[in-house]
Amino acid sequence: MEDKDLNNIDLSSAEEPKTDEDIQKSKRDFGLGIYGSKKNISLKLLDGFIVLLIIAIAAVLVFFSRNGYTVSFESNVPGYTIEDQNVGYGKTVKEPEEPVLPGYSFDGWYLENGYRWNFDSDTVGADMELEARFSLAPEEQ
Amino acid sequence: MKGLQSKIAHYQSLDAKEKKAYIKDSLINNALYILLVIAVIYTYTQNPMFISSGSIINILSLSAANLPIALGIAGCIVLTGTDLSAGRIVGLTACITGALEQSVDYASKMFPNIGPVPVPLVILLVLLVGGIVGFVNGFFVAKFSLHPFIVTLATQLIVYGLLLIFLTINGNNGQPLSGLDEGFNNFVKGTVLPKIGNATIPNYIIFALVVTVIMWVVWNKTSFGKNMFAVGSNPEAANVSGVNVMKTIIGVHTLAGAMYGLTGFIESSRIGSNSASTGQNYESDAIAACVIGGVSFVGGTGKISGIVLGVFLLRIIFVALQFLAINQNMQYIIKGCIILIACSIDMRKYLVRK
Repeated sequence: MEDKDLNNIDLSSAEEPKTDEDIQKSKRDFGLGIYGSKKNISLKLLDGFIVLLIIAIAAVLVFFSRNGYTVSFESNVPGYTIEDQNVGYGKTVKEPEEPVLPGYSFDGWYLENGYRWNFDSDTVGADMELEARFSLAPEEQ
Repeated sequence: MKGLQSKIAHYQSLDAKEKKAYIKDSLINNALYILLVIAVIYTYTQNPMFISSGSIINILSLSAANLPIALGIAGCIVLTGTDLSAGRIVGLTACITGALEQSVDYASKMFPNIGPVPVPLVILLVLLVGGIVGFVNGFFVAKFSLHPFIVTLATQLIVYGLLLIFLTINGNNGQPLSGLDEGFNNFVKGTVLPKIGNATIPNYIIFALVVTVIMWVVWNKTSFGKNMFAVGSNPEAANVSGVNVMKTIIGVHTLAGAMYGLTGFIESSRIGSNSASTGQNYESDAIAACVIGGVSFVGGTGKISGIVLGVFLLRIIFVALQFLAINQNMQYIIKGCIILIACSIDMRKYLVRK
């Protein structure tokens, strides 16, 4: 599809000649057309802005990149801490030792949204915290 | 090839000053592609795994999953509109698919009495649900000349409400829908193509390919497609030349809705555990991809090939950000900046053309 200029469309078949203003108005009437007047836009400023943003993004890529994501663990057992792991994108997490809470059985490591982490197949794509969940051990109930 | 030759001939005919301006214009108009090259090279130097068969197929798969929604929303942008309800429609249709395709032996099944529904039936249903919401969008935009921004903002909220209600059916209480049927998962995520290295090519890449071909035909070979561009360029002129503007606007939105439905169907299996947050903000990526791909907000311009390219470019940058382990919060800022750059370049082309 070729680019069409709004102002060059053949309107000869229309009943009355349309001015630029009419066309703008008709676009408004259709609830369309977000670009209003083009007269006051500075091309230089626009160019500068585009270049600035590109440089900013490139700088962020270079200065904010890290070796991997931080995976932290919340054992929910007082005094029992597990060291954070640094895991590269798409890699699996090494399963930590199961925490022990007397009277409860360990259910597994869960994400905040309630998803049970599968250490064999799930891969890391963001910083995250895994929380240990327990249920009452049957013999204690 | 011919285009390139004529470009070179055009360049050679310019004088020194014009040549400089031409180079500057080309550089700025292609700023996002330059950024892409920088990102790919830098990411590769940091983590060579970025250019491995697994990673490339990952990018392809992510792009394929996002392609139908972008192809749908592009039609709305060609009409100088937009569609903010896209993401929530994806969420709703993904959850409907999830609920109907849970395996029989899954404990907390939403509809315990309904086994996995035949896949073609589910596809029809999601196309219908998406289509209905799209029709409502189109109807209000066309019939009452309301701005698509506000109409789709309203339907976005309505669809989200419906989605939240849907997730409470049968005491589900908003829990994510998981435990999907094996057969359904195989249909979407399984593969009929041979492996490349260690990576498998999921079937939904083929779906995306089919949808792209269908949309290409609709856009370029049907009167509906031609009418869409005419209405996007100038609805008044289209109207006087006999185009049914209302029917075209409703049609474009309905088709877009059906595309979101299809995206929801794919996402349902791809994500595997669908909740109310499925599909959230998908429209922003899709709109960004369209604008990057040259679907102008000025209306009446856009190509299917551009949209496909836009979806790829965006996905490559996002995956690069993940490989570089750039903070999630920072990733949002970068996405926002990319959208700003894309629409600034769009505006720039519009100004220069004038």
